[in-house]
Amino acid sequence: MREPQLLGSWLEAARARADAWKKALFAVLGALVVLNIFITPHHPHFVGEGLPGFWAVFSLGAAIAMVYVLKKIVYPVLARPEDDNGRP
Amino acid sequence: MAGLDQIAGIHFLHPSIGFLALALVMAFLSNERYMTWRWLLLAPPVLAIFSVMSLTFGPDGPRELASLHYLGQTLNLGRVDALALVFANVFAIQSLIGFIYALHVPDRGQHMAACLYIAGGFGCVFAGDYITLFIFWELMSIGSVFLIWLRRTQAATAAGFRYFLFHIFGGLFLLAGLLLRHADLGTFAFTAVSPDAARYYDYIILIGFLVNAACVPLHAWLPDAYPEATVTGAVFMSAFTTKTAVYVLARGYAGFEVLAIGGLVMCLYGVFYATIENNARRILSYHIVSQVGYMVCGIGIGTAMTLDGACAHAYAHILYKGLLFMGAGCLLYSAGTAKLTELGGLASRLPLVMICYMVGAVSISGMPLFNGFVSKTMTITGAAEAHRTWLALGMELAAVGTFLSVGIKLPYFAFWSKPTSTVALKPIPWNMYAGMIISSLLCLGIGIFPQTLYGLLPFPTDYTPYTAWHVLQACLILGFTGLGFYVMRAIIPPHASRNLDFDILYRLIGRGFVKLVSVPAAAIDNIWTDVYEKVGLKGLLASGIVTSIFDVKVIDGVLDGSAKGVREVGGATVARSQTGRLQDYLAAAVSIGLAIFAAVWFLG
Repeated sequence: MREPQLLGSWLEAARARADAWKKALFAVLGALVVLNIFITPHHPHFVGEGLPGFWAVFSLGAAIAMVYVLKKIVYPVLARPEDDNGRP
Repeated sequence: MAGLDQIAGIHFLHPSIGFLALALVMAFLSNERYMTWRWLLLAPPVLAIFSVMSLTFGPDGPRELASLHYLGQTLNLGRVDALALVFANVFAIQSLIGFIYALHVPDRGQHMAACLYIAGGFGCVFAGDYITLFIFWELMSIGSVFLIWLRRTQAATAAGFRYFLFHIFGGLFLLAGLLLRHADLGTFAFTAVSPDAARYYDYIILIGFLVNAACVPLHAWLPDAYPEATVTGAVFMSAFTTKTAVYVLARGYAGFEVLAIGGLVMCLYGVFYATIENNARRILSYHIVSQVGYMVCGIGIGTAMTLDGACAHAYAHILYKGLLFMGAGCLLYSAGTAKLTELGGLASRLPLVMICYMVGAVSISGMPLFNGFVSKTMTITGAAEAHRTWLALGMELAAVGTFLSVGIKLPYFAFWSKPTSTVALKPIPWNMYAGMIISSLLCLGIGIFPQTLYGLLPFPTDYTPYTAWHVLQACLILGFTGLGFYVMRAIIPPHASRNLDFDILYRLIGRGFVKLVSVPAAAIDNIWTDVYEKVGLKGLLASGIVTSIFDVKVIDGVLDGSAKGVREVGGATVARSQTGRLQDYLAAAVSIGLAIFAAVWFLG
């Protein structure tokens, strides 16, 4: 089955506007944090959850820490050639 | 035909029957005429959907609808209640989607294997006793291993053997546990075990279940084997094995603390490995471990809300994980590889594949409007409301890792990272798109109308996923994980490698066993052969000649010489049937086993 060409070229055009998408992402993230000042959980399950920006900091910190620790420290220890099928 | 009346009576058509019957019919069909008979593949799933729907709208409460006598026991093949039905419901839907996706594959062997595998899954879900469960449990193992072997590559053959040996290992724990349990309690009934009253045999059975649930450290068969399965086989496998295990855990082991902790370890272990993996289908395999972790954790916490969350998540997971495997399967089918380092720049050339994949990706990541959001938040909120804050936080951390690796890393490096790709792409058949589009619509539909799913859950729930806070929280987690990816974009690109995991342990054990057999045991055997040749063989040959003459001339001659005739006719046929390939023997054994079981089923 042929994929729709029009959709493909729209995606190609969207890709060329990467900077605009990046600005849009930052704007959305800023808006989410602002919303978080007004919308907080009614019954926080632990102390920090009620603070505005908690989940933003948690997610950003977790993503950065996870990538750093896994790619820089864990990966070099565990990596083996891809197609050796586990042979020592 | 008492058996048939019981199983296929007006009240209950066991969904396995259609799949088993089709597997039998396909044995007499040829691959050459595949285009004419392939539509038959859709019949058993459609029948299964009707069967399960009629049960869902039938009377409430547990029912026992089909039993038969076998080996001096009463096998209960039709225990029907809300817990069984929620799993049967999604199994039926996913079997239809899987066969639509596989409709172009002109290999009846693969379809027979899928049929047996799915029949096993339904059999487990409706099993009311451990013997029935064990029979269908093993049928699943055998069906699924052929979905790996039939990819017909050397890596698939090797991975299939490791997969099968490990599942036999798990199956033996189940068998040992159920026999010990019977010796103590005098019953094979498959009922819930109270955590306070669990005995040693309950824990032995639990180990058998945890092998199939891919609980760390018994999980390594999954990321080892699934990436080697056929393109369409992996779609089936992502749905049934681990979710059947989740079902039996929910049925028998709710409230076991070891599951709550083990589930969280699975959640995190899976995402950690997925973050550093290169093969798209292996990344998705590690995410099965992680997502099943949410379910196992919910079962371990054991409140009504977390059990509902586990079932809802299993339902949602089967749909979106099948969709993700279909998307990655399209890449493998079309571009010839699923390795991220060899992909990239495909978004404008495969836009529909990319969009369908992304629906699966945002579903698994728990984005509002998609089914993962209405099931994952239920499990996590349930954990928090049961005052298991650390478990809830751990699951949120796994959610960050999920979006990072399946939601951003995989699609970014498969579809975007490089300039538009110029590699030759094999055209993808229409039915593969159809399977993905149906799955995408279901992921979206359940996300928008969660009551369609909540209405099926075993416990009544008034959980509301769409509150302003839940939606904002999910958006914050996904958005800032995206920012994290952007910040770390220089470090995260995948490398062409495979990472060490627990499978190395059983590879070493296997290799050690081969060494043991080929070095010391072979040396002893050589000495013995020498002694035997020099001393024993001559005497034995002489006595053999005398016996043979006596047999042919005296015993067979007295009758009519038929034995000699049969030997000469049958010898060549028997020799040809002895291929020496273990796969062929396994196929023959399961065929004979099923034939005996069918004979007992229908004639007994």
